[in-house]
Parts: sequence; structure tokens; C-alpha cells
Amino acid sequence: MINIYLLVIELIVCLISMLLLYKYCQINGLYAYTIVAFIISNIMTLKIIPIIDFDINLGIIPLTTIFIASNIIIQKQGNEEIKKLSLILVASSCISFGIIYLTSLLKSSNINLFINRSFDNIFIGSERLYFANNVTLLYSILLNSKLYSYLKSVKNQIWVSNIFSSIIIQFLVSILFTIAAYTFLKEPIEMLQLAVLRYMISLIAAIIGTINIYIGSKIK
Amino acid sequence: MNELIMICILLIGIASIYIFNKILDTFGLKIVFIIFSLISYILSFKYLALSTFHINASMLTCCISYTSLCLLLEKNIIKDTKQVIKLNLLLNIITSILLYLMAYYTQSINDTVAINMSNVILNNIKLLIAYPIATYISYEVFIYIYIKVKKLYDYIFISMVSTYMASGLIALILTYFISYYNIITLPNIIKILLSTYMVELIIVVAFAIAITLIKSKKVSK
Repeated sequence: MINIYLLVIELIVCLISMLLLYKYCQINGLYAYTIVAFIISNIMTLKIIPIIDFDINLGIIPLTTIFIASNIIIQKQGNEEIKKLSLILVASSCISFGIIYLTSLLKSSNINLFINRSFDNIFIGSERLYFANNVTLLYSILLNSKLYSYLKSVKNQIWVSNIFSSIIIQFLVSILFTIAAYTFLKEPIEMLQLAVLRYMISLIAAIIGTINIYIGSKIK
Repeated sequence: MNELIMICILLIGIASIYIFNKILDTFGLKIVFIIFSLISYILSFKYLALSTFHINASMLTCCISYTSLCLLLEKNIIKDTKQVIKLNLLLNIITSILLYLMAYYTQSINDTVAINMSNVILNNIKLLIAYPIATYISYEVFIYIYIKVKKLYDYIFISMVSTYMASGLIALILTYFISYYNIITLPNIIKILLSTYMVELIIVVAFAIAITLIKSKKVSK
């Protein structure tokens, strides 16, 4: 049960920080938020937690809030800005993974050896999960921008665009992540359970995030 | 091997500055600063052995952050640069909160990585508070001194190196003394502090020389 409470706290922290950054630093704050959320999500994905008797990877909440941030960007600046956002996300993912992984390979000092070894063990051997999280986000962020813009052009209502695009995109994200991360490692039924649980959590987070898009669209 | 990997990391940093500056100009430099500052934060949990030195793993990426900050100041956008530093403080605080929360999730029995995450974060709990504050103060000092020095000598090499000598030392002293007091012995803290400072200073000098050369070539063209 503590994990569910922590997920709720994590969602609140992410949504409030996104709004704070947007309020004080405008659109640059949203770009900065997506970078933090992406790098932290990549690290969190490596941890597995039990939720309602099923094991899932962490990092779903920061990942979902990136979509909310991108929807605020589309709402304010239009679809073209998403290309810039994608470029920034690709670069931050490549740079952060490259440097953190290379640092894990470096010989540790004897001072604080226990922590140094723990640090190395986090990243070495976790490449597949890292890769799965990256590919999933980068592919779906582009699709999300197209879908959100389309829905916005059809019916210019924030909740319609966000909820309907989330229903489709979060499903895609869950399926893609599960396939990329666990094919040949887990049984198909286990993969399906994981995908369904991820989908449920990310969809709830995305729907709650609609409030952020409303508030964000009112911030000048 | 260690040296080769370090050179690779430095090359990644230099390439990032160059590419982002080319594609997105000032905005690109801000992004590089934020990315490398965040990576520095994550790497600050690890210590490396380089020959007889014991250095903090974040020192390479810290140098890249300082360099991008320096290039931002060279473009005379002081107000924007100050805003980026405040933004960076907020981002570091958010990172601290998220890392802290992550350590408290109950891990699955099938998970082998989570225990390492908890070890790294919960044993460095003071670093989660000290690092954002220390870096913020050091960057503020960096901007303050840089502007003063630039008024006296408008020469990037002198501004960059002299500014780093003060602000880098402040950052390291604040970070290590707050984070590791009573955790690591005092001689070891001083050993890490001095080694990290020395190596960082050498890298900053190398970067300053490179930037000066590139600038002088551009002027001669």
C-alpha cells in the first residue's frame, strides 16, 4: 500500500514542479522539466516495485508528465515546438546514458567503496530497460503531438484532446515498453499483466494532468 | 583505461556544447548547462580512483557546466544566465525529492537493482540537500566574480580560470563538508576535496585555452 501512496506523492510533486517551473521560467521551464523528468524516469525504470501483487517498473509518473508538459507546449506554441523538444530529449537521453554508463565503468575509489560499488551495479547490466524507456518515449512523443494537434483542430477543448490522446498514447507506451524491455525474458501473460497495470497508472496520471494543462494555458 | 573513458566523457561534453550552440544558439547553451548540471548531481554520489588521487565522478561534467556558463556570460546575457541558475536550483531540488521518494518505495523480491539504489541514496542523504545549495551558491559566486574580472581584463582565459578558482573551491568545500561530515573521516574529505579541485582546475585551464584559441581564430578570419 505504501507504494501506491508514494506514487500519488510522486505525481503531486511532478505536477506542482511542472507548474512552478512554467510560472517562473515560462516555456524554458517546461523544457527543463522534461529533461529532469526524462533523466529521472530513466533511472527510476531500473527499480521494480510490487503493486497489487504485480511487479512493475518505476518511472511511469515522470514519463507520463512529460506528455502533459508537451501538451502544454503544443497548447501554447503549436506543434512545431515538439520537434525541438524531441531533439532536446534525444540529446539528453544519449548524453546522460553515455556519461553515466561510462562513469560506472570507471575504477572506484576505496573511499566510500560500498556506495561506489552500489552505484556501478545500478547501471551496468540495465541497458535494455534504459533503451526500452528511451525508445518508447521518443517514438510516442511525436505521435502524441500529432494526435493532440489533430484533436485540438477537430474540437478545441483541452480535456477532449488530452484525455483521448492519452487513452491511445499511454496504451501504446505501455505496450511498446513491455515488448522492448521484457520480450524473451517474461511469459506473455506476465507481460500482458505488466502492460495493463502500467497503462492503468499512466492513464490515471495523464487524466489528472489535464488540470495542469488548464492551469498552464491560463498562465501568461 | 580510466583515462581513456575520462577523455571520452570530456569529448562528449565538448561535442555537446559545440552542436547545441550551433543548432540552438544561446538556448542550446542553456540546455547543455542544465543537462550537465543534472548529470553532475547524479554522478556526485560516486568517487573514482585516478592513479593516487581520489576524485569525485562529477568533476568532468561540472567542468562542462562551468564552460557553458562561461560561454553564456561571454554573450552578455547576464540576466538570462542568472535565471538559468535559479532554474537549475529548482531542478536540483526536484531531482532530490524524486530521488528521495524513489529510495523509499518497497522493492520487489525479484529486483536486484533497487537495493543498490537505496544504498546510494539513503547513505548520502545529506548530499541531497547540500548539493543543490552548494552548486547554487557557487554559480552565483561564479557570475559575480566573472563580471568583475571581465570588467578589469576582457580576456576569456583569465576570467574563466580565476573565476573557477574561487567558485569551484566554494562548491567543493560546501558540498563535502556538509555531506560527509561524520560519514567520511576528515583527512579523507580533505584528500577528495583537494584532488577533485586540482583535477577540475587542470580541465578548466585546458578548456579556457581551447576557447581562447577558437575565439582568436574566429577574430583573425
